[in-house]
Amino acid sequence: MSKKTTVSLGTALDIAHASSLKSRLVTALTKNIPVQLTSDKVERVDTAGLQLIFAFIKKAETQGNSVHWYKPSDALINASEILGLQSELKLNQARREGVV
Amino acid sequence: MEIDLSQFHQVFFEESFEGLDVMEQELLNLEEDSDLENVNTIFRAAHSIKGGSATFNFKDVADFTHVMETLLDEMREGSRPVTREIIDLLLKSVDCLRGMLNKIQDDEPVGEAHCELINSFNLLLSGEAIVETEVNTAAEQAVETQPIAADTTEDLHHYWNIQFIPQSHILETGNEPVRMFRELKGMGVLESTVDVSKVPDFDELVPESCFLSWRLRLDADTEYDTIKEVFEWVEDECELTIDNAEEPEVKKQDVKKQEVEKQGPITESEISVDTVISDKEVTAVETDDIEVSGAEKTTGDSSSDKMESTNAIVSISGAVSNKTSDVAKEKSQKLATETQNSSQAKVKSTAVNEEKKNQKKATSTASIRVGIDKVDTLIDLVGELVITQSMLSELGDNFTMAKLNQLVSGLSELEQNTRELQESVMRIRMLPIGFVFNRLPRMVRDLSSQLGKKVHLAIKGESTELDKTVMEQIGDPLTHLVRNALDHGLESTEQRIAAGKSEEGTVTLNAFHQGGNIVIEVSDNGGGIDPDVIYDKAVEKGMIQQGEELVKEQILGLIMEPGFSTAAVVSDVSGRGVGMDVVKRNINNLGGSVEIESNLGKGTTFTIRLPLTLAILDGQLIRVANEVYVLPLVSIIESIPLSMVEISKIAGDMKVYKLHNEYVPIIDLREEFVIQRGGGANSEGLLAIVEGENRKIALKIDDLMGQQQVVIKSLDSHYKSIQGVSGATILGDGRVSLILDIVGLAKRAAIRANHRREKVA
Repeated sequence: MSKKTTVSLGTALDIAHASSLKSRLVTALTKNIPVQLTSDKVERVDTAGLQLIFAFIKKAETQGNSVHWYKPSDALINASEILGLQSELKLNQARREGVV
Repeated sequence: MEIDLSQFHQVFFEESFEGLDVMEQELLNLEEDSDLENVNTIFRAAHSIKGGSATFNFKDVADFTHVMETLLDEMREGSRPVTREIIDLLLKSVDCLRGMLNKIQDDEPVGEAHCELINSFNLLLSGEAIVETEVNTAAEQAVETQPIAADTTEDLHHYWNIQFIPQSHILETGNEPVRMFRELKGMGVLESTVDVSKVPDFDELVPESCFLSWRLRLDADTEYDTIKEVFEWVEDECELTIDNAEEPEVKKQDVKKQEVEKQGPITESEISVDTVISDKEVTAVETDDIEVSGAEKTTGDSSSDKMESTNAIVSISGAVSNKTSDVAKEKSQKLATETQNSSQAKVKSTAVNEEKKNQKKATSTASIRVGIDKVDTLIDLVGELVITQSMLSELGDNFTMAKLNQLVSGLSELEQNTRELQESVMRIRMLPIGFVFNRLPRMVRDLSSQLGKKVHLAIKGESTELDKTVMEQIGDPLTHLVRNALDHGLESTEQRIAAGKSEEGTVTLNAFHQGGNIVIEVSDNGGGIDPDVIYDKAVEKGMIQQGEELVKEQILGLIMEPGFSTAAVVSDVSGRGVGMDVVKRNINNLGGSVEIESNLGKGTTFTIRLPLTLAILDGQLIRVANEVYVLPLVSIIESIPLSMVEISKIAGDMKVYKLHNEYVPIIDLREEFVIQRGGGANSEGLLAIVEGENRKIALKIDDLMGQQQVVIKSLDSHYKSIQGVSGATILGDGRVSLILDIVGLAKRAAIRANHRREKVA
């Protein structure tokens, strides 16, 4: 199994925390290895947060690194569903596969 | 202020036809390899036709494209696989739409052809496979549509299409799409589609700005205002459109209604008659037979009849209503007024229509799309011309002999500019031949399945440009040649396998420039033409004598003669013996020629040579007395001094000249154009043998002068059309010279000969 790095999304994936999250995500990108997003505790989700994750996934994938969800919370899935971002965020896949 | 939309109709039609061409082409591409981009292109084309037709109130077209679009949308989203059936159906729809648009353009009713296609679409959309796409009778149609219509009547509902494009700072103001959408979700079923295309690269992304936009579909029984309320706080910070859309299933209901409407006033009046009669029965009110027959008259054709009869209905229903229930009264009156309105409108509209039609014929002119680069070149050239002109006029102001050299170089520059300008203007009329080629793949597809042959159509040189007029006229001959290649040229699959060839036959279209001509080749790798078979057939048909010596090219050329067909079976596709001669005649009319080359067992190539433009002609100047005429150079076969010619007379006064084995009628142009006097009486004169549409005539002229390219000016627009003259041109010395039309001259001569013969008799 190859190496991977983990980013925890904490409890709030929202506009208030977006900037600090972005800098953590940048650090993850510089490692140039697959990323796991730990999201089991996420309770508050908004557009800014999901948009940031979307851009991150896109960027990581263009670098050739995959991004995996770890236990995406219901709040996260619901919000992404409402915004129609589920497939963009690969969350429908994650749920179906029950990714570890 | 009201805007007259009809001024945009022409543009709409042009764009729609273009869109349909695109759809057709992409559908054919789709068949070969299914790509999402193709579906998107087709969808966009259908969508713009739908939008345009709705704007201009062409409801039938809009409704039809709407159903098409629904199916395409499913294909686009990937929820419906691309099958041959669907492509067939869509191709048929393209044809149908083209027909509808043509009819609308001619101010004719669109007919009902599209209704059955709509039914097929609806069947597909409702999840049933089309077992039979061609619904033949109206009765069957009614049977098929009714149950569906009945099903959908009950859950008649609308959905909302919401387009929400927020400004980037929306999140900073605390307005959260998630919250707003959740609110919408509370009203019914919400489907959101997000557009992420504006989201910048992760590095550039400002986390607090919103770059997303949404298209929402809300399936809910809500008021417009309720939805609007959700977006109340962000109204000024976004682009928001909320549209009430209808469910495709519900559409069926509409379609059904339309169908009834489409059957026109007849159906309507039948309904009224029924209602009136049934009311009568119920209440046993006695009404006059005359009135009933008046009502029946509604089914008649003339609009005045309709007016009368509707009045009759009104009077019946008036009489009946006094004694019948209110419901019946309302019903019959409504129907009557409707009929009346429609018939009144009709009377008016027929008169207006006539007028419009006439106007339209006068104003509708073909337009042309020109690449901006061509226009830019023109502007540059005109700029050059202006500079040269000002230079020359300055020279002229104070001219001394010392400036002669300057003048000469200035004039040559002027000449150069003028020539370039002429060429560029001509180039504006030039379009890539792809416009013609593009309609062939569809035909090949349909035909190959009809003939059960596997055919690959290869197209080369589609960017070769030629004159628009030439292109319009080359379409049919080209289509015919390709049909022929498919039907006769290519062998059946079994024969091909037996001959050791690949199963799939190839028809190749190629176009290129050669000299001042455009060359179009239509070739197939089929069985080729056997000259012996052609020869025998020609003998059998009495076209040539047995034992006549002919070279291979001449024998092959026979298939282009009228009344020749070697196909063992006259098929639907070709073989009736009309066609190839028409092809040849059409091409000759354009000043072009056809050559056939064929290798037995390897294939056949038809080579068409066409002049680049019809506006310029290679002409041979001839002199008759003091007049100069122009003959198309291609039409001249030979010229002989009169002194060497033996002239015979047949049928009284008709002078003929024996050329090889045929007699060629002689036309004395001096007589023909009633030229009284003039020089040249001393010269011995010449006989110019010319050919047009396979007819040869000999023209008696005084002298052959130079050859030059002449610009054809239409005589029709400046004077009037004259038989025997195809146009006029201005010669170098400023004189006007008439361009002779060989075919017209031959016809003129024939008519005159007949007259003379009648006189003699």
